[in-house]
Amino acid sequence: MALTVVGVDIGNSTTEASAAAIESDGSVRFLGAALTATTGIKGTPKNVDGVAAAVTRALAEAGIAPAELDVVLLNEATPVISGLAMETITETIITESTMIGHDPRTPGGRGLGVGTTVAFDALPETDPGAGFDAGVIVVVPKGVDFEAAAHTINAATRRGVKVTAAILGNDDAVLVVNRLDTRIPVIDEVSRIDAVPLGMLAAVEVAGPGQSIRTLSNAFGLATIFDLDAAATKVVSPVARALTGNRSAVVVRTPAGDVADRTIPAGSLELTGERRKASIDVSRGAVEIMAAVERVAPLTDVVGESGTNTGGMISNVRQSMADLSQHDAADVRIQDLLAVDTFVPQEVRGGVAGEVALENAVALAAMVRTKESGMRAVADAVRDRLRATGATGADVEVGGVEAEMAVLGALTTPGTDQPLVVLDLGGGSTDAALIEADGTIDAVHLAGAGDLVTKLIDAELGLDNLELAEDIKRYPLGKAESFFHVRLENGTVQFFEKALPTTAFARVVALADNGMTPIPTRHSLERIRAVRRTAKERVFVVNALRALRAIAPAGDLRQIDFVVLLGGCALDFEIPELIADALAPYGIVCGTGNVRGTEGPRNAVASGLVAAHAQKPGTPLDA
Amino acid sequence: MIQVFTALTGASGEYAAVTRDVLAGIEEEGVPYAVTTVAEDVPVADLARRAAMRSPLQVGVGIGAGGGVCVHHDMLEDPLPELSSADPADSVAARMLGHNAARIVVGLPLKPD
Repeated sequence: MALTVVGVDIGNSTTEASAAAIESDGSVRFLGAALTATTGIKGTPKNVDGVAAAVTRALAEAGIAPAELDVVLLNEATPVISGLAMETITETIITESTMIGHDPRTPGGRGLGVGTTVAFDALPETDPGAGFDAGVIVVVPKGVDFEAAAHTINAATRRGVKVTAAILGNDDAVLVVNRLDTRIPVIDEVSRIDAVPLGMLAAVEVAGPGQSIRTLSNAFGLATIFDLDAAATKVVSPVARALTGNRSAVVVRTPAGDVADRTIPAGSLELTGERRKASIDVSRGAVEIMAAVERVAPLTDVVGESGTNTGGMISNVRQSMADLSQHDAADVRIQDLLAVDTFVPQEVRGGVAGEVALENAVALAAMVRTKESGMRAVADAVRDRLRATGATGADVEVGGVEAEMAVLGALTTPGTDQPLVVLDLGGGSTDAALIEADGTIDAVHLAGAGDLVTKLIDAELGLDNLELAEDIKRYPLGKAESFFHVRLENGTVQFFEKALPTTAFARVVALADNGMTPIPTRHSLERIRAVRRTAKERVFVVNALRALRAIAPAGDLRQIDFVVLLGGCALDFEIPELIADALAPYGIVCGTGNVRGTEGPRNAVASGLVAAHAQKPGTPLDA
Repeated sequence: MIQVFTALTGASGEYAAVTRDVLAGIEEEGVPYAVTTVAEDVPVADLARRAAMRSPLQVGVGIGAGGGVCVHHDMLEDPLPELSSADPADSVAARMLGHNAARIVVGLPLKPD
């Protein structure tokens, strides 16, 4: 009688099971597989629910009754937990100088208007020439009808007042300009119109359709209008940068006003390695941080400078990992760190219409090795649950280092042989394992994987919505060009029988399996696509190279012939190709695994557990 | 141009503000329009349908005798609830539907955005 076994791999996000029969001659027949979400943190008794579900489904697919189950094999879950943090390292603050750069869709008029800001109500009393030689810019609150606004401006102009531009609270710029005697630049949709300073020298610029402003986005243009010396020009140049690319903008100069582009003292990281230590300021950016990590490798711990944002960030990461694994924060050791440069749109402090500037930021992924794995407790809990639900003869064994099992599972991919490298692209970590020709196995675990990619997409597009970021990561983009068709990012068109929802009309959408998700931002499809692809590159290509360098013989990538990609992110529609492209120059054949020729990149560890068990001397082969 | 078929008569009649707001929304987006008064007692949705059929841009707006507004694209089978207002439309709704009629022509995401 064959031995009925189920191998179970408990991962950070998914629990996978592989049901098989091991015959008395040691051969293995794989009969069924299943996949379910991991319940609780990997390596804790809460995993029982996920394990039981996976085992039950695998047996059902195999057509085996629970009572026939002999052994469940659990992986020795590598006790690593990962955490993420992001820190901006620059900040744009406007103090006492006002910039309006929200770039409304329908500004009015064209050109540059310079003048002193005057309230709409005060315009009828404004004297032509009374100190306003340069002109007057009228500020019109919300609630003023566009006909009334145009009428009042025309009346002032006919009295000899030089109205050079207008700033409106309502979305009325085109309506107003269409009713004016002379065309002037008008900017509208200013949400906090009451915060626009009055009685100050200002400039309004509107470019033609499809064009960008030239003067207010040029530091020397601002210097000309506001008569600034070199020192003042340097201080005001961040305004010009923030307004670059806008079709319209306003700058109001207030005395003693500065726009500061500040580098926030982010703090430094203290990296401790086995033999060396290093300290690196986070604001120096990801490349220098990673070089420092490289210099002290192998890393044994990381601490942030206390009293700084970095210090707070790292201790939060350590604390949440300690809470998850139920250890003391002092027992937590960060054993790998991945730093990624990124840009984050942040609301400008002191802006008047919700303006946003792209600030430099650094994202950090950290990986922690906790004290002990606790898999024995999980095994006991699983056994009790299975016996209570009909698998009366089931035993549960913990065995098999995850990396070794992954490699054995990967070797069931047609076309593979030792020596082989496996790259497991998960949600929380990127793991690599090398099996040499003689069977020795080496493994490495790196911080930074699928979750970090999602976080980068979320931050760089300013979504504040991780679910949406996940959809953007996983699915191709399209733009709804009519109520019935979407143009996909590769140029082809998809038609729909039923009209698209009005929320999707003319929007960029992510084409998810269960329908399209409109992306509620003003980013173009090209921009979203670029953010998606570079996020995947900055995490997975970087980590693929780091991992391979860590386990390649003598750190030389040319000594590796084959790399098999496993894990959830190996199913992504772009990540395998990005990694393969990066590895091709080293002569490496890189492809997505196909475990047992049927499972794709899934189920490697679960299948490997079964294969290892069958090979083990002393395994009872009779049930 | 967008065709606007209205059952309302005169610039100072009841609900004149509704027409003004709708047309303001279209004008602000920079799209041309033409207004036609329809004498028959026809539901707003049908006014919109007929207007869309007549518009070379395939977009029509109906303004009913009760001050309700409906925006329709000739390609759609039936007017969409999201593009129709209550009877009568309030100022914000009427203005927004004007913008949206134009945005459908121009290919911009609809308000509220």
